Amino acid sequence: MGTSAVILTKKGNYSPEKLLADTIVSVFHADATLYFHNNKNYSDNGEFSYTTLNINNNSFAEKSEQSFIFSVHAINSPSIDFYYHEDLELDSNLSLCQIGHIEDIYGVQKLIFTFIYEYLRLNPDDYFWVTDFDWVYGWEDMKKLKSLPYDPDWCYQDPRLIDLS
Amino acid sequence: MDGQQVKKADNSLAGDLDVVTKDEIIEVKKSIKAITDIEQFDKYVNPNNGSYFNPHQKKVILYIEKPLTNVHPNDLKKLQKIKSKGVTIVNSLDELKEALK
Repeated sequence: MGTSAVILTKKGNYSPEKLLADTIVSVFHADATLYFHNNKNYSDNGEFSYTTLNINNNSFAEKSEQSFIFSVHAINSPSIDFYYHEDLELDSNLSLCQIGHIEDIYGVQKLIFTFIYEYLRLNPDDYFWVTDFDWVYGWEDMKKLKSLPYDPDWCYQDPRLIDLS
Repeated sequence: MDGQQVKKADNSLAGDLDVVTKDEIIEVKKSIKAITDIEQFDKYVNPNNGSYFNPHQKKVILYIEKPLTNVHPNDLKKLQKIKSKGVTIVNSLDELKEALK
């Protein structure tokens, strides 16, 4: 599993269908490749639980250099519950959920950067959280990072310390 | 952490394994907070899962590095759900040694 990451979005805005749609658009603009087998997993009581997509930097026919798993969970999945507002210095009045789970960010930082940049452009009120750290990246942070030379360690650094000078 | 990528027959990525021994699959997390996807464990413990890749039914161990103190009630529920899937949770190297016996 390694170091995972998620998107934080307002709970009332979330549906698996919207995330699937936004993922397609984000992958399109990121010039990445999407593989969706539509393999649905179900809970013990037979309800949809989650599905996964593969996001790659190359076609699946080629040997991909970078690839990550992106999970899309049901609205009632316990995996979308988010309650770490205080640790991440987020407004405790925001009802947030964690979606779009990325299992391991190691080795795919550049692909994640281009994908999350496009995702947050579509959803500028959402955040990206690398779960080993107590900070989040917002749309403004991604724009700042985009204006700088690419740093492969971008997702291990506190965006509040980005220096544009 | 640089884990081992597991791919399906169609070349799509099925998952990343942190540590694999002869008899165990060990997943490593920095803290309870970093465990976001409870259902991810299904591919190690549930043969009916579409991405199941533990055909030798190795013991699944979750190693959480940061000590579990003052655990949030929701985190306790999270740990219970993971345990109920048959995953052994350890929170120190000594506990890991015990689990590997």
